[in-house]
Amino acid sequence: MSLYFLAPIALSGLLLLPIVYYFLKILPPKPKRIFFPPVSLMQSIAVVEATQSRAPWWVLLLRLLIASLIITAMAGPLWRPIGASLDNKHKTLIILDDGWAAANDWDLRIKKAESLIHELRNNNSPVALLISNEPKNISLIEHNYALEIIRSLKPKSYIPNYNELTNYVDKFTQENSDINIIWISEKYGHADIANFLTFLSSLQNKVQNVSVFINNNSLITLSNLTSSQKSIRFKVKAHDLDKSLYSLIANDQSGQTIYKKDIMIGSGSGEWIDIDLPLELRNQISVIKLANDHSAGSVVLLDDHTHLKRVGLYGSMKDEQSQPLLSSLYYIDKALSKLASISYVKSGDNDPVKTLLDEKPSILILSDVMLSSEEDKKNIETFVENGGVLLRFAGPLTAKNIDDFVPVRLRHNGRVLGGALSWQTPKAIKDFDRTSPFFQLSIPKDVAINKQILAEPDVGLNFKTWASLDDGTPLITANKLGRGMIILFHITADNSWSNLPISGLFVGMMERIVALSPEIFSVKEDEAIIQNAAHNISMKPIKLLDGYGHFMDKIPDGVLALDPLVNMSTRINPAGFYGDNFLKRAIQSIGQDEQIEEINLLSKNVPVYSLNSSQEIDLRSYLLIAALVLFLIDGIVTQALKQIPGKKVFIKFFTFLAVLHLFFCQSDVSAAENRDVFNPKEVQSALKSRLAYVVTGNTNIDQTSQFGLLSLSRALRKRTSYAPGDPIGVTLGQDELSLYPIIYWPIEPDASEPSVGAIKALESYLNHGGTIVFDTHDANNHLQGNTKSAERVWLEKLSQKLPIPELEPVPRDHVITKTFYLLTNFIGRYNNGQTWVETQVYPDISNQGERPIRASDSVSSVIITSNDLAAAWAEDDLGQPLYSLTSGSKNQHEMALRGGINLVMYTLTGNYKSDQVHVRDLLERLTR
Amino acid sequence: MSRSAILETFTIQSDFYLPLSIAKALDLSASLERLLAKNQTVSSLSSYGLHNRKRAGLGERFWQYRAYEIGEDANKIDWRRSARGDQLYVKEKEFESLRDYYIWIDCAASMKFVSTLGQDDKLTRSINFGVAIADLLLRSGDRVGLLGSSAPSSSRATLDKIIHQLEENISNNFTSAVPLLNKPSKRSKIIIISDFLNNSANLKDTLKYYADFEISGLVVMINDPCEVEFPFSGETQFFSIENNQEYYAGDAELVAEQYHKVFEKHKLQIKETAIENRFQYYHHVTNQSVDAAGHDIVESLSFCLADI
Repeated sequence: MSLYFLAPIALSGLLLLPIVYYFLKILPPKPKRIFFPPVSLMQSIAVVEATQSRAPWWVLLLRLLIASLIITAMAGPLWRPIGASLDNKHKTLIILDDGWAAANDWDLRIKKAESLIHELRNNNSPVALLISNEPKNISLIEHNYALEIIRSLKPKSYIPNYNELTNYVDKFTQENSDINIIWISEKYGHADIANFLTFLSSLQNKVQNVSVFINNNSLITLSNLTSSQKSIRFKVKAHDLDKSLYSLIANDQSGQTIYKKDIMIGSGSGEWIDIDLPLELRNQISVIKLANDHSAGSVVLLDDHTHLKRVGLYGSMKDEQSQPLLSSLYYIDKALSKLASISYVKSGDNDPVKTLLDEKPSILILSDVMLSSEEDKKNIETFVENGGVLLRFAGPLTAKNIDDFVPVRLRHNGRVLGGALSWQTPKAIKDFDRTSPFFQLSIPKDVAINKQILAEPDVGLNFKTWASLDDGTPLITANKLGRGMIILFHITADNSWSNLPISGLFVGMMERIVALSPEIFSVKEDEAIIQNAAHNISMKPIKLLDGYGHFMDKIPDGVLALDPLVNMSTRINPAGFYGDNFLKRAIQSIGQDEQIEEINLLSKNVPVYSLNSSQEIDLRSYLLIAALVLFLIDGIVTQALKQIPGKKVFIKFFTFLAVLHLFFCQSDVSAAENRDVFNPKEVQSALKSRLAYVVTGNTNIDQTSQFGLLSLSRALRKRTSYAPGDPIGVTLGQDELSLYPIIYWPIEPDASEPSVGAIKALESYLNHGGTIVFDTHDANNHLQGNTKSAERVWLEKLSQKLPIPELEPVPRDHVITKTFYLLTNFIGRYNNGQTWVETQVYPDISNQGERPIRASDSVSSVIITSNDLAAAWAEDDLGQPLYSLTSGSKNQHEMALRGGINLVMYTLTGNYKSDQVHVRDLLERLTR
Repeated sequence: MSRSAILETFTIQSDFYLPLSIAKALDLSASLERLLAKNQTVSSLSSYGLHNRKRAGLGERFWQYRAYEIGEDANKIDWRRSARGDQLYVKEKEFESLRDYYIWIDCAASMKFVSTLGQDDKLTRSINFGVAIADLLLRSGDRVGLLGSSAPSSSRATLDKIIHQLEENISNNFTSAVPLLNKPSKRSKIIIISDFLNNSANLKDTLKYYADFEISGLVVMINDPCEVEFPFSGETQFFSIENNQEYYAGDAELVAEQYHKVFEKHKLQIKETAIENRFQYYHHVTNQSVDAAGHDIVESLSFCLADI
């Protein structure tokens, strides 16, 4: 059968049609009865017979046809659904690929799988499901359960292991021979995908049927990320893609776009893309992806290894320029050149250490430098304590003059191994411990140490040792200082003491050290530091990618800490960031050496269907369109039957069309209607800026607020350039708050807690630059010795739900004390209460990782006072205070008003006024 | 508002509350008086009354002597005064006027009809106008009465009396045609406010009867907007309470055009009847503003006074 219904039960609606017909024909609706005084006039008008209930039979038929078309469309008819082979009652195994290569057309796959299962259910054929990335023993399952599994499925950021799948499928086919196998393939994979296809085609003789569904989709991959001193470099490769424009974006940790570039991508063997950015910006890049491609394959992640560090390099040798190969810095330079940006000291610089530190490097490398000047010592100490890494190489100079900046106590004079006067042979390096950051670096056999400086055998020396010689003498030691670290190579940086600097191992060591710096040092215990420094041992997942290339909200089950050997996205370690905030490692969705291939379906003798083939036709839309056309015809016919002159028919017809249009755009219209409804209060407030207070429900308090703000508004109009309208009371949870620059909130302890909606509104008000003045008006209670008034308790409860920042009593130099008047405190009805504002946070330049976005222009979003401001502001027509003020001094009312004016000016002008403080200096500078 | 919503909300005001419309009427008269005081171009109603008008005119009291102008009627000359000197004088008397005003408001059930298109029911409007005119006339000292119910009087209690009488008429659904007075005084004026839907037949005779007594006045025809516009569609049975008439329309929309013709003809007929008998005619639809209409009515009333 080639016609198939998704919801056949809807067809039962057709049974209703005869009943509808019966009622239309037999029981026409009664005419309306309308009271109408001028009836006496109408007696002369000829009676017009009704047309509607006596509509001709063919109009009725037309309408019934419309109804049956709509009902049939509801049943979801499909013409020639795919998988005609499914009619028989065989078991069917559906293999659904859910790797990232399937992400771009995921919905199509899910739809296909769903319709297959629907069909199987209708045919009563059992179903078995195998999700490629969750391979397990295959068993038959309920259709509904299968649907549930499929609907909750999301593509993964790794590629299925088809070898594993082969085993499971093999096992299943051995147990059940009479099955259909349907593979909804993602078409791209590792080499084993071809094997899997071969395996399936070999099954064809054993089982009933094997079919493969693929989509002719293209695929773009970003891979082989490398970071050199010059740029970040990666390969863009496309399969099956005509040349088209894609936009490449680079985001930082918080998801903000730092860099954007449009590139043309087309099929080919791949193209290298270089991103060349200033170092500071470049190191902030966390993700690079294609904006208009939604697959984890087109995302590369940048971790600490790819971030380029700045390194300051300084050696003691004088003739560095003239004889580069003998220079102690040459090998370090070579080793680091691809990892870091290196700064040197120009010859003739008097204060080289300071020059280097001024460039703010992550690592300062001193090769055999004797730190003599006190200033240098101090500078280096601050540098390390703030998280820098000091990497030192020993040498003849340091061997004689040992200073404090070494990780372990050193003996004067080095030891010489295998020299003319020694019977010891040059020593090799012992394998690195698991605790060493150099763990798993391979040690070339020919590396030998001839000469080194010795460490005193103190307690804890072992923990500080990162590398040692065969006989256990420390070769590289490290120790924490402040937040930073001092690392000492007990040998020179050139090849005079050993051949380590000219070996590949040296490069590896440098790489690891660079990756360590500079933010690793946060754990307190020395031991733990060194544990952690051996970074690869246990890295917990931080943020993981899903198949679409987005970061997931949470870490899925079954993800383990990163194994140091892993360099490919797998089920256990999906692509994403691992480690902690100080040291991160990224696992790419496409590993460094991973090859993504497209399977060649033609070579195998397996029936292949396309996912988006035109074979299947969804008849729903056609039926609905037909119904619509008939509906229009019906409308015209009905009008024509009324025998209205020709001209009018067209007018009516167009009106009818307009109504139809309205009908179909109903949602838009209703949305527009919603938008049009404005509260007159809000309109007023939007037209004129005004002060607002929170309506507490306590009439006394509300009246006081109203009077107080009215007086304050009057004072503002009189004295400042701000002319507010009359104040207004806002009801939390109902009124729009964003219209008011400042809201006065007298706390009413008996009031119920604000609703969730109100809290949300308040939160967004505070987050978007609004200011709320909380007034507990309980300073009086403090005079009497009560510590916690009911108002304060209420406010504390509220503050737990609101994003209230850290507060401090108004500092003497706070802007709020000088926005209009120069004031020392904010007095109200009482003058002993403290006023609290947000603690001022000065932008911390060093902390570039987080960039707090502040809408408030450094205006405190919350001001808390207990002085009952409104009561002190309130005045009568003569300017006399309405309420008795407790200190009793004459100008208390005036001072309260001034405080109020300052508050309002503060919220309106923001930090502009604090800039004004510098005006005098600026003017002076201009006149100079 | 959709058409069906209009149809559902056709009502008769069963709980008619008179004091409200009276209060509105008094407001209206006050505002009309202010308006008249301000606007000199509108000939003032208050120039006709019993009061001494402080100007020359028909009356009994002496006003002034003035010099005789050539061409004037010779018998106007006051010979007694002229004999004292060489010049001829004319004796003028102070202008006085005395007029009876009758107001008639149709209180039939159909007057209480209101549709959602109208602002008020027709009766409320009628009372607004009627009482406002009565109040205005009484203030300027004229004699006012309710036609068929009370004799004209200019005493202070007249307004209350009129209102009281109206109340009674409304509660009785007083639905006769315009009453005929036995011996109407010759110079009186009649103000008739009605929708003329049920009493139009003998209107012509009534007006003719009064015209024979040299009585003129004002005919105010008041309608609900839906009576003018006929915004109906679909199969409809129309009915009215007054005379239990019914009309069936298979599709009201098709009838509309003919209804408009009939209604216009009816309206024209009323107008012609009024004008033939030297009555002023004014048509008001209840979705128009009360104040503007009040102003217009007073203006047409003053026209009918001026035509003596």
